[in-house]
Amino acid sequence: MSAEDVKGPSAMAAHEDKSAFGFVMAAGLFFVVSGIYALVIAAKLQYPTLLGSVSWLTYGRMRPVHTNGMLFGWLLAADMGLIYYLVPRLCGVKLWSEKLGLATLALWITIILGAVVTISLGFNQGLEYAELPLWLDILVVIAWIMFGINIFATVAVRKYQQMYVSLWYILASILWTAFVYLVGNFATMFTSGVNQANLNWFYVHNAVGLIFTPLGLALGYYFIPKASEAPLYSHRLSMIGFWSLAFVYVWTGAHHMLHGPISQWLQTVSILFSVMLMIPVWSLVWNFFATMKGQWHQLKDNVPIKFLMSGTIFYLLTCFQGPMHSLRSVNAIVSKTDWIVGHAHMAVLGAFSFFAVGGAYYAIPRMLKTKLHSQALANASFWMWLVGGLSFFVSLWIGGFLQGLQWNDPSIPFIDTVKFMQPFWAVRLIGGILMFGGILIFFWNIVATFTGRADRPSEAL
Amino acid sequence: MSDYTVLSTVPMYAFMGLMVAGALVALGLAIRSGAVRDDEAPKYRMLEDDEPQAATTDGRKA
Repeated sequence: MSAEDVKGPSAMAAHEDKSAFGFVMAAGLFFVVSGIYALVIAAKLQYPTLLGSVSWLTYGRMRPVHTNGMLFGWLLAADMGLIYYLVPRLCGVKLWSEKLGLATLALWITIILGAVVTISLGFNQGLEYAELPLWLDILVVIAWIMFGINIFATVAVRKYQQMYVSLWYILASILWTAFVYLVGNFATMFTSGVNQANLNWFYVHNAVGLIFTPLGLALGYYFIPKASEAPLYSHRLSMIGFWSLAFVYVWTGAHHMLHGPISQWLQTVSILFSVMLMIPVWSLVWNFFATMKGQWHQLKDNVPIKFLMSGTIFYLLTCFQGPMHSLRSVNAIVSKTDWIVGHAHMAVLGAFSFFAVGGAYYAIPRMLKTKLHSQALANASFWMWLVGGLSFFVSLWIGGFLQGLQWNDPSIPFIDTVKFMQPFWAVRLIGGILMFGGILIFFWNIVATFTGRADRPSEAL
Repeated sequence: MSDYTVLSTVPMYAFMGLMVAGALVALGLAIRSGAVRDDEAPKYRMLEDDEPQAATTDGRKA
């Protein structure tokens, strides 16, 4: 490090991590609740009359609670908590305001609880991932502005001029999230029909591509070198990945509407940019794998590294599938089938949740200045998650692909294609039960780490 | 044939173009300010940032 890297005087960086820990704990709790909803709706695919006709327990009410709970209650909250942890450390200063962070946490919890109540009562805007009523959308925007102010203000007073790649992803995703969320939840109010669908799929795809992807990658770029104690293979390559993602990802949303009633040029543009996504994806995967060169033995005992590198493989698979789905010939088979459900779950519960859980297992003992409650339980959660997840995803890929072939055969009645999926949905349910076991163990482990922190001093780290 | 998606695609693409233009401006400003440089220093520095340390008067870790 040269002298010019250092921006100027800085206060002692004593990290409090209250906001960070609060967000991760709340996220863990929402993960458990959303998991329960997931199991119930997966069981309903096997037993459609399960829980009868009680309105708030019907499939139509429970599914949006599950999707919003997983996306905003668990994953985004966990990402926000881990960002509160890593940004001050990368900047060499304290978080700009712990009070603002805790206020953001209180507001976020209010939003998630409000979402559970309102959706359960039947208030739903009828748009994928944008089901929340308007007043909750406004609260989300306010909470995101509070979060953004805290992070930008921390980065503004950083000690080092040159920023590590994770900071680039985080700052960009704060801006992108604001833009994407406004389009998906407000701009759609002024359109209808195919135009509304066009905007909605722009939002849905970029909710993953410009919110969860950059946040997840920021975690990977931070926690893989930290947990393995090996420097990133190439910071230069990481910046190429970041800027190529910034220029490419935003154009891809319309590939969800291929063969639909939207203009052909729009479909073609989305296909072109979807295939170009391989540039940022492969540069990142190469970087992570090259970082682990000579460190692979750590997969045996290092639980954060197990999660982070498995997440990398899930990310590679997800982002190989994505561009392939966007090809018209492939899309004609897999679009709207259970293949896509498997793909979406691998992105959220495979790639990005693995990054978040790996990061949480690394960061929480350091937030609390203690040792993780149980490495054995952490290891058990990894294997349950991995085996459950793989059986879940693979069963839906196989079933969904066959389902797509059947849908392309007009001689097969639709109801037969539904009955055909039942064995695959049974495997999905079993895989989901295993994953839920992993979620429970993860949550118990971080709770026990908190409650027993006084018994395990930081020297034991 | 009419393009029925003009209503959504025109403003959507305008916003997307704005985002990409914004990214270009951000990249230019970042290069000028020194926040982006073609070296590998940040990847070594980030490995050492965990523990709270007192700063010297010039801001460097003691």
